[in-house]
Amino acid sequence: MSELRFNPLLGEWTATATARQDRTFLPPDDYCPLCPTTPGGFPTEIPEPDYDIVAFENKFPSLRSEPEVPSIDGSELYPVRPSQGVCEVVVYTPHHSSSLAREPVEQIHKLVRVWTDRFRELEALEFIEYVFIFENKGEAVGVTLHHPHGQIYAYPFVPPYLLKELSRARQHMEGTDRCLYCDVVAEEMQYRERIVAENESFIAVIPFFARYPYETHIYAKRHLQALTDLFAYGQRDLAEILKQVLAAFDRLFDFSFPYIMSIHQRPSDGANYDYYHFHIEFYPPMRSKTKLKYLAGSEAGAGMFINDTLPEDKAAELRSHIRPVTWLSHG
Amino acid sequence: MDPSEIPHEPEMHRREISLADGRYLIFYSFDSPDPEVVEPEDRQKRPEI
Repeated sequence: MSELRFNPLLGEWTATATARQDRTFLPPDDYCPLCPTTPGGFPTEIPEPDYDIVAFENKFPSLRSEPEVPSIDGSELYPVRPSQGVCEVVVYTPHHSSSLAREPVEQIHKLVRVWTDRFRELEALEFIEYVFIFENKGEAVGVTLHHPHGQIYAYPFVPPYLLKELSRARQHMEGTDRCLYCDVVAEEMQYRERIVAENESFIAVIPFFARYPYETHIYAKRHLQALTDLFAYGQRDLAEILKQVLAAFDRLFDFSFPYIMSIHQRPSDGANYDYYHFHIEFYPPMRSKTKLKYLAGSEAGAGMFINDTLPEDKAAELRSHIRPVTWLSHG
Repeated sequence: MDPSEIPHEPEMHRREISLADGRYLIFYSFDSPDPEVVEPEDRQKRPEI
């Protein structure tokens, strides 16, 4: 059963996807569905003995290009619509025990190019209004497969968190004639204490308003709206700063650091979003080596985050783990 | 990265197949840019959550 049900209290859609209850949950390494299929071995999702990067339609999608008929009739108060969209899995590497942080920068550069290709292809679908590229990493954020991978949800509407960002960016542009994100970049570059890493094209910061102790944002320095606006050197700079930040995360507590990675781009509904600004947000759930930041009463019930730390302190801590990136090849 | 230092970009190739249940799967591959690419040691480590 799968459909989109409208929440009139918040003006948002919720997807039901009951088949996802049966999805593969933390299988043994020998039965990883994202590993290559070796001759005589367990047939995985990827029917070849080797690959570089793979993208495929999710076996347990919450959105489908040819969706089911909704299981229930809607009403004027409770609109219902088919859960049309696309859910893809992007497998970063054939190496089961790796992670994006542990992959060489060349592989991350390839992934940036694959993300760009997937964005371009999915946004061209007439029923798609927003292409959301993300990664859930670690059991602490609910991962069900450890093999390094991310996901793409192509939605038939602009999701609420992005709508809120877009609204704030538009208001700022209308009030000041400036991009909100360009102003944030300028302020962080002037203050500098919240900068974690920086290169010609990008800046990584734990922002002034961080909600999680290690919440890190990567902003494009140039005003652009999507991965497809990046030049070749921008793609390489994005790979470099991703490698630096992800490796620094892992060095923080000397374990593979869990996070949600959320790539924020302009919508794909054909409207003009020149006021918006491409960036990536990381929400790591750790607030210390052994403690998780839970979304409790104030966060989950009221939408107000309480951060037990100062972004300036956490930025200094994370910055101390940043190392230069070495390209082993021309990538 | 200094834009003047950009090396030749390896060409990206894609090959799409249909899985048994009708879903698509796309293999992305890239021209080999440099034969002396080495496997980083830390890639072999086990993840710890």
